[in-house]
Amino acid sequence: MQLPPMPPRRGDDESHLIPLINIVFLLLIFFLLAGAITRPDPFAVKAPVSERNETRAGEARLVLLHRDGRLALDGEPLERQALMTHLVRAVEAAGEEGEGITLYLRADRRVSSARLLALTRQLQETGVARIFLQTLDGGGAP
Amino acid sequence: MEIEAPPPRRRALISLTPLIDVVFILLVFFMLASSFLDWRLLPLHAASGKAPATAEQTVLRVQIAADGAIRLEGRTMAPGGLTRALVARLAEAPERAVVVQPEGDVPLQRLVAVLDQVRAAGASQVTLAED
Repeated sequence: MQLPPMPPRRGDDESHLIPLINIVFLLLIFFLLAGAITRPDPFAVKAPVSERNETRAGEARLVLLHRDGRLALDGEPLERQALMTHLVRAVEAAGEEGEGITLYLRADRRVSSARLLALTRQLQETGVARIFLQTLDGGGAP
Repeated sequence: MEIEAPPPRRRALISLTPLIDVVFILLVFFMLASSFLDWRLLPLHAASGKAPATAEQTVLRVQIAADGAIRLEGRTMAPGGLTRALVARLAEAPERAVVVQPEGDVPLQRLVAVLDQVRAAGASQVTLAED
């Protein structure tokens, strides 16, 4: 006598998980390759949008300028005077190795021009070689 | 009477559930920690000291008023007309420096838009100065 085939047992058979784990692995590899891990900003800065600008990779220090004037250097909130002291020291250290320091400035899009100009001038006085304003692609975030 | 026994099931070497737990945690970590922003760079250069008023005849002055009006050498530009006017002037002397002078409370987004237009005109030297 032949019994009808036994229904598949769901309890401890895990083969139905394989398609799920395939997708999850794919997502994981996508995020590993496509995303760049960055240190979270100490405060939110909405960068301005621009139409045409070159991108350039390279070593640079990052200065954040919040709408209300708060500043941060490489993810660390600092007072204006402390930030300038940090930069002057960094410029001196880099100068001994014969290199200039590149600075990326990420300022909020609602910051007033006067504030940006004053900060840019102060940053130039520390002796950094180049300052770039970071902007976002015009097709991206509004 | 003979009853067929079900085939013996293979014992998996590692169980899938803990594996998928770990992979999910990794996935969530990378989703939260990675950033997909495409940063672009705009060279910034601020004039040191006072703005060059009339001493240098060779600079082209672009002024941005608080209400958004743009003036080139004192003449108000139509929206979008700045690039064309600058191209015409830079054609005669490509090395002319352009000085952008925003009024104090012009928001940065507005300033960046004007800088875009100036750079689109092909200006090689762009400086910021106070109005």
